[in-house]
Amino acid sequence: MKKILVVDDETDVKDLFLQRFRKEIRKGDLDFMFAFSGEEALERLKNMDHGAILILSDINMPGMSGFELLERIKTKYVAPPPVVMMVTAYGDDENFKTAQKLGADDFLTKPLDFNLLKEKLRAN
Amino acid sequence: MNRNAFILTLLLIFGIRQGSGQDFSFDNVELDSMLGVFNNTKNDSVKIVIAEGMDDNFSYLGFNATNSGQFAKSYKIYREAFEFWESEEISSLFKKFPENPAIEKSYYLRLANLYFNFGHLMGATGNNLERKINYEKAYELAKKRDDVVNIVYCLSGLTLIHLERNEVDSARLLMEQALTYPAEQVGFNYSTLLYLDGMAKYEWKNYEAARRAFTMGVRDATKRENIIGQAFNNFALSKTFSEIQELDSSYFYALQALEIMNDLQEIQVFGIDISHVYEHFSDYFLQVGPQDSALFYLQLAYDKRTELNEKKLGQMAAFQQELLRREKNASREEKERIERESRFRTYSFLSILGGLSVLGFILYRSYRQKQKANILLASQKEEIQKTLTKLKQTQAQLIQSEKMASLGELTAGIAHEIQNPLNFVNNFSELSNELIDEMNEEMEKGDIEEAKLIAADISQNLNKINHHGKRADAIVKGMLQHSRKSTADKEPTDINKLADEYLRLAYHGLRAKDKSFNAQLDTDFDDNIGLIQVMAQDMGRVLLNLITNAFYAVKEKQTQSEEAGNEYSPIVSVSTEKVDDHIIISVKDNGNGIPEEVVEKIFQPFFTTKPTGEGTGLGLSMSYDIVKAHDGKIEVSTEENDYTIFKIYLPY
Repeated sequence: MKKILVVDDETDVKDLFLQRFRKEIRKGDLDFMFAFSGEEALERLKNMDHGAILILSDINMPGMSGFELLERIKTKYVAPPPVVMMVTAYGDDENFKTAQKLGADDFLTKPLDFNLLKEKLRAN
Repeated sequence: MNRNAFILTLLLIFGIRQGSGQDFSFDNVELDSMLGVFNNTKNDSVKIVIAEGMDDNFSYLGFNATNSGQFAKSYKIYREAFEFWESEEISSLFKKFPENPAIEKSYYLRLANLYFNFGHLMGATGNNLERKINYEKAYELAKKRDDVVNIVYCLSGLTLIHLERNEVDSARLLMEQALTYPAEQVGFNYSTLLYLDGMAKYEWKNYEAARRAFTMGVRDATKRENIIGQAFNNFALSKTFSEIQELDSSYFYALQALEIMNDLQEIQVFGIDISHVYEHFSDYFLQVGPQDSALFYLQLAYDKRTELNEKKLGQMAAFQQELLRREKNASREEKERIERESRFRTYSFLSILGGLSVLGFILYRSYRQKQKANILLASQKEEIQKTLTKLKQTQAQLIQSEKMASLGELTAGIAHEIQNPLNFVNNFSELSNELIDEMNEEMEKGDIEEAKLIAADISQNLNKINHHGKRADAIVKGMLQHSRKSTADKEPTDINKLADEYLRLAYHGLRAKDKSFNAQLDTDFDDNIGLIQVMAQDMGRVLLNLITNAFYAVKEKQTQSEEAGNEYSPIVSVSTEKVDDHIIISVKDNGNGIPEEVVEKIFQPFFTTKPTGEGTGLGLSMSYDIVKAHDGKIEVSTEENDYTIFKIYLPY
């Protein structure tokens, strides 16, 4: 069973994911956790087996930004680092390049295409 | 009947007020009949009282004749008075009571007064030399016998000569001397002293002191029912207020003066007559309009002055004839005196004649000039009015363009802000549709419990759709408000929320324009602030401005750092704090700071360091005005290459 940590400052994202993935959750294919800031996400990651986690993070957040979180995760958790997918409303080249440079495994733009996301989650 | 009782009786009959040379009590008593009584009386005490009464009468008639321009009549009266008063009979009469020195003193006081009044006539006929000589003779006599009234009269007269010669310092010194004597001892003409004192200060351009003197003068003259004193002090007050541009007051006192002068048409004192009041009115209307009135009064002034000058010419001719007549029949000694007194014939008379035409010419020329000036003024006024209207339009356009510029900055931010709630609305509505299908399936299966759970989820979703719909609504409303005219109404506002909203909007706005830009946003809001009374839209505009500037600064530094290969992480922080009776909103950036030579200019309208076309230069000046309108202040502290902090102080 895959554990997925969703990081976003919008709290309703939690309900959205729980409903969008309710079948997968019910079947036990996916297990979701939520953090509402970069800082909270790091806190959560401390006590977990990082290899088994997929992180889905927003980029524009007050405080620690998604990029900062990505950078920390990828430098701190070396072997094996968790899979990190970045989500942003700004699907521009610059953001994409930065995400790539910092070691992001994938890059998604808002509004999220949940069917696409489901495929990507299945593949990872 | 003893002497004192008899004097008292006479005083009551004639109503004498002793010590006053300008007493009006003898108006209807003929000098001749008094002389008859004098000659038929053997009693020296009675003779003295009657002689004093006659002297009062001479002085009054002569003084009034001088002031109304009847110089020949005045001269006749004074010569008669001198003949009478300086005669052996009178001078010895007053020396018959050595046990009562006041009687002998009275003789000299009256002689001093005659000299003074005669000096006054000499001044009016343009013989300043004789005028001064007579004043000085009077002064010597008065000073020797501590006669306050004549001392101050003479000092006043000499002051006037200095004033006419523009010797303001000497005039001031003499008046200071005169004013050391108390008002009650000076009596009836104390307001004249105050007037001259005021004139000395007026010429010195100390208008505040002059105003005080003239005000006291009006008060004193009113108290003593001295209408001439009231007239020229009021007129002087009017001129003074005109000098200090208090035109309403000037108009008021000019009206007071005019009212009195209307009754004194022929009177000219200190070179002032009713034509000067008219001229002053003309000046007043020239300044405040209507221009018609200005011309009307100028015409009145011109006509009146011409009339008075013509009369004066006639009076001077009569005066000359009187002197010539006297000279023919005079003794050698007398001839010499008359020659001195008529010295005006060689120059003064001519100068008065010349003065007339010059006066008329000056008045006419100024009339023409004022007419021209009026036309010029009117066209200039129209020009200025046009410029002003244009300026106002430009200003309105600039303010509008500043609003639109910041609106442009906002739009992208707003679009992004709306995107989030819209995503939720779309997602939750899609999900709800799916959930209804599922719910129907469960009900068909007969699993009512599960169907109820799904129904609860649907209900929750509908709430979320509603919530995010309202959120988007609020953002759009905020945007509309920003571009709308400010209502200038203060309302209870959550400053923290306002600051947070605009921080996000500004950030996303910039991000939308420049996708490579990222910055750390720090906020530190004081929860104790609660709601404060501000014009929310205006204050929002201020915050947006400061925050946008902060982003601009860090963005610039970021670009420079990248080029130079330096490490730099842009930070913009917004904080609020409640301190005592005010709150402080701080907007800080770690950009390049503001150079010292620029920092003083940043609140000036149209000052901008941005390239042409990028900034209106109105942002900070408008912010400054808005904060000031809230009784607050805005401060900047900055360190070059390090940081800039703008602090807004608002009363709590």
